[in-house]
Amino acid sequence: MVTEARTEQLPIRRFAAINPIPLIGLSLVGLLIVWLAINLEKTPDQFLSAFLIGITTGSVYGLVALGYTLVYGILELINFAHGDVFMLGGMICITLISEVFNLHAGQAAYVVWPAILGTLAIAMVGCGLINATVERIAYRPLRGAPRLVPLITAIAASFILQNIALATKGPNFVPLNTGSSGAADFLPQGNVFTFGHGDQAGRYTWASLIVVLLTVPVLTALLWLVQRTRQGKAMRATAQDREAAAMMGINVNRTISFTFVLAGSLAGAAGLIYAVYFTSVRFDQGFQLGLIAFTAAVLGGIGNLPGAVFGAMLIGMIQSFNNTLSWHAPGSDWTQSIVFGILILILVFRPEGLLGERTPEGG
Amino acid sequence: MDALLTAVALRKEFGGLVAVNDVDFTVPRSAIVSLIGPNGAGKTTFFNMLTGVYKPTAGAVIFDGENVTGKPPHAITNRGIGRTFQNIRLFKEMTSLENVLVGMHGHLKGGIVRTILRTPGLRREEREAREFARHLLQFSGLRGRDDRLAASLPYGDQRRLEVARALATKPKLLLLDEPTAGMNPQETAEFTAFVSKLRTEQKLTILLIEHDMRVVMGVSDRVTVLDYGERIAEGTPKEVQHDPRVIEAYLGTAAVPT
Amino acid sequence: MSEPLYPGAKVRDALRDSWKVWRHKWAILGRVGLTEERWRAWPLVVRRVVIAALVGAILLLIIGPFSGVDASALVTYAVFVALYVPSWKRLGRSGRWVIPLAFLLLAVTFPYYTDKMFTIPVLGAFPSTSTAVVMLIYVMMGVGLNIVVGYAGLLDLGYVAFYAIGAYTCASLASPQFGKTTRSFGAVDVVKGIGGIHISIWLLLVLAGILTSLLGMLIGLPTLRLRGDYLAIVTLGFGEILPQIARNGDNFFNTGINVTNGPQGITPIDGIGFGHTLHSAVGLPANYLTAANSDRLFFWTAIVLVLFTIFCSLRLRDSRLGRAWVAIREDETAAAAMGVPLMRTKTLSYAIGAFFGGVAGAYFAEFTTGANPDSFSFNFSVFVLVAVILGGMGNVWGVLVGAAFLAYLDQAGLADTGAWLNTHLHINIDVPKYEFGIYGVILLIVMLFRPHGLIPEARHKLEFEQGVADEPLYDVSH
Repeated sequence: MVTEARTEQLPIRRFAAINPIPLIGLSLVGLLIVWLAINLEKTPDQFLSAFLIGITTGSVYGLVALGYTLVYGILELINFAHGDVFMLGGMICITLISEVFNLHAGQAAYVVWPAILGTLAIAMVGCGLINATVERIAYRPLRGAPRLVPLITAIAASFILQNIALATKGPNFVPLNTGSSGAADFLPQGNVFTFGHGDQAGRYTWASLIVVLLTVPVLTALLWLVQRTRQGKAMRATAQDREAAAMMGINVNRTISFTFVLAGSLAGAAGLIYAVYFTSVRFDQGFQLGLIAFTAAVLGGIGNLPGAVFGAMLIGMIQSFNNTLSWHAPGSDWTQSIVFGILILILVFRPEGLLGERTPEGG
Repeated sequence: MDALLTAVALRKEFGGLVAVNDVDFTVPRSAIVSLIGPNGAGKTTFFNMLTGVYKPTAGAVIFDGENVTGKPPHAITNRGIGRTFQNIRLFKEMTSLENVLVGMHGHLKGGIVRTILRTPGLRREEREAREFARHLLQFSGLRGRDDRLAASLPYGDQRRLEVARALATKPKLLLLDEPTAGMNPQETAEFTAFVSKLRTEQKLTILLIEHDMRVVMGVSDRVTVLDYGERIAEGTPKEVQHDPRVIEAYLGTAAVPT
Repeated sequence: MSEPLYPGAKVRDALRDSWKVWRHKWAILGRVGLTEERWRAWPLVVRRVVIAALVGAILLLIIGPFSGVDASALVTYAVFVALYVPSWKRLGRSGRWVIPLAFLLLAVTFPYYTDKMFTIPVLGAFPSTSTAVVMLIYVMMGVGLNIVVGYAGLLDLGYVAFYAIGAYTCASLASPQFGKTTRSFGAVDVVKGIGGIHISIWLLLVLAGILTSLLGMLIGLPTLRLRGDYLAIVTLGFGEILPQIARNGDNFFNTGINVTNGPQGITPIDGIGFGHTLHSAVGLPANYLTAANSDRLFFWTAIVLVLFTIFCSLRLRDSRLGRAWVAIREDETAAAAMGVPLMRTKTLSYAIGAFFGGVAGAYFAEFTTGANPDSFSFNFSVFVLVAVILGGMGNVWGVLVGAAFLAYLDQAGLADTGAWLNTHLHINIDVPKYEFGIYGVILLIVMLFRPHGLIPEARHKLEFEQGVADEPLYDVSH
């Protein structure tokens, strides 16, 4: 019945009247493209640096968005606490880096890299466990309840996680030492390349490249896991039909737990990247960033793994274009409104997302 | 023959799957028409298009001389098509009486301001509505269960309550979706009698989806058979019973009693 | 609810079973010779006296060690006993009004006795009159949100948006904000030559309500056809966008247009009152802000507003519209098949909920003489939602208790509790800092153990136990 309802959202009638909704949507997209084109023409270097920043932030959003999409794909639940799991990941990483590994500027690569990878591993495992614990306590007992009930407990879990961070790390930003590139000081501070000149000069730092270099293998591993392994197969089956999966001998609870672990560990990875690139985390940042990442997941088509990454890149771009470009950009004061505006428009005009609503198997 | 409801080349596709394939269909006024067919033949999909739950991919539904294709369900209900559901969908936390009152929604007027002021006109309307609802419950054999929660009624009574609720929409055409599913033979017999009574006493036209051939053969004036989304036969119960295509469609599932 | 699947469920069930002691009370009491039959044989008044004495003894045991028992505690107890013991219903038609009227009287006279009351254990002193005003405003919002969440079953996570619009409507139309024009309509005590629009606050309360309900419809029309969880996230989005508009509204996109006065917000706002003519003629207060008993005036006006909200809410519940809401909450497809227009009915619930949110926002702005973008965060939406859920979704009285209690915690109770804990346990925790963490725990516990709230509506209970058919089966685009 559910699949029927979804297909129903695109009624094809023989004598269909002209539907204004796609027209409005298309003209909005058109305006956006024109605006981008004019900006590109006027200030090409600024445009390029905005684009590069967009890719970096998009990577962080992508990792978090994947967590939303994985969980939504399997449980049809918006895991509001996911952003806060990401925030806790950032906290864990900063604590490990500054207090356990004691990383600082000028250390040799053979000291820095094992420490970063170790932090990554611990953050991924830690966040995976946190996320699975949230599922056990706040969602699993309510699986038969009306749909809105787990949504409410998700909000509750989000607040609780925030307050755990507040209690342990305090109300202020928890920082790492920042180097000249804007990223953590123990990373290489140089530029991969620079371009433009004067006040339009831009650069692509090694730190930005490292973000992408950390993201790509994590994403590849995830895709391999979901599409090629037994556990991935169980996830896909559970997402399609929980009861049928159970009858086929799949341990549904374990599969769901595994999904939460997976989603949480992605958030942990995102936490590390955020920590070393933006160098500070505050207890209430996760929720906001989580909402943006959720928007990205919806934009790409919730439940659709490549869609989440695609949507995250788009949102990252839109955000950095808005913050950086000079010709008629609303500016960073309006970033939140723009992102949520996109969320609302997408849900109203194309709830299945740009790439279509699909379960994790991508088909 | 005066047709109350006509479906013209009605079609429904889900993705690439054709669930209902260009079906023409007519319900004459004050007749009891049955729609039968093996499981998955597209009966309920067809029903859902008539009532506006699904929008047809193509084709038209003409009800009482008006094209109602693609209209929202409540608009179709308010034009005079009442329905029940295959798996009972009562408002479980409401009493029987409230269930029936919800059915009368489209025929009551109270807006926000009048509701808050509770004007004498509104009081009268509400009182009359309750009286009518009680009358319907009594007619459906649910006397004295007005204030029972719907969920607490026995199965057979829930079926009756669904009919009472559908009658409250003051329909010209009543659609019953497998009303005797899950009933024992005695309950089925009672229900069949009830359906006949609906026609004679409430002057209703009835469209029935049914699996139980005794019910179909007992009450129907006309029978339409669907298989794989296509209409394979149409006629009186006798004609349909002897139609070779119908027998073929049912072979292997359930033999048609002769 | 599904069968227990995890170890914690055993703990949960054990906790739940502890309530069964009450259910098996007769088996226990029977052993000491008090069977149910004997108990029932006693006259009603005697039975109530026994219960009142028992409750009194328990309260004494609780209050006594913590804060001592003084005259005010005994008088309070006596008042409730006097209300409880006699069977007022025997007075016939007028009898059923005795208890509600007595409660109303207790509420109206609250400012006179609150500072003379005993201290509540742990929570500290009775709420002050100004705390009580805030409590009443939150009650109004809770009852308003209850129409959306409790009646119609639509999860609204952006209720704060309506509150903000109400507040800004009131603030901008009764202050020197729009200094270029000078319009005055029924406002009291406007300084001569100050400029700006000055409309009577009474009118603005209504106007704010109407404006927010129109906006509610505008937001609702495209979004209410979405699935429940999508609707929740869209309302959340609106709740995030509006404060940002308020914050950046002092200079829209560098055009120099100042609508909301940016981060400072709009302050001060004109006074609310009946003007000097009515003051000298019938003695009604001229201007609350300058009156000596300002808080009390705000308190009584808030009581009137809350009564109005509850009255409307109850009337709507027991009407054609109320039934349609419950029907939609339970089963959209069936409701539509019964002739209930889904979009219109949902939009109405949204608009009515928005109305009360708007009025509450306007009144709150007036009470604090300002509208400030920082007070409109997502947390606030959740706060009101917790109030509705804690009290019992759908039940007006439950929501009233829930909202009042939560507002009290927010305003004074948490700080007092924290102080009490810190002195008695010799710790040093800033309890109010963790306010929302505490609400999170409350939400989680309520949802896990008592999903229908502390005072549930009879209907909802069933829904949570049996689940509902809330999977929408078709595109609800009508």
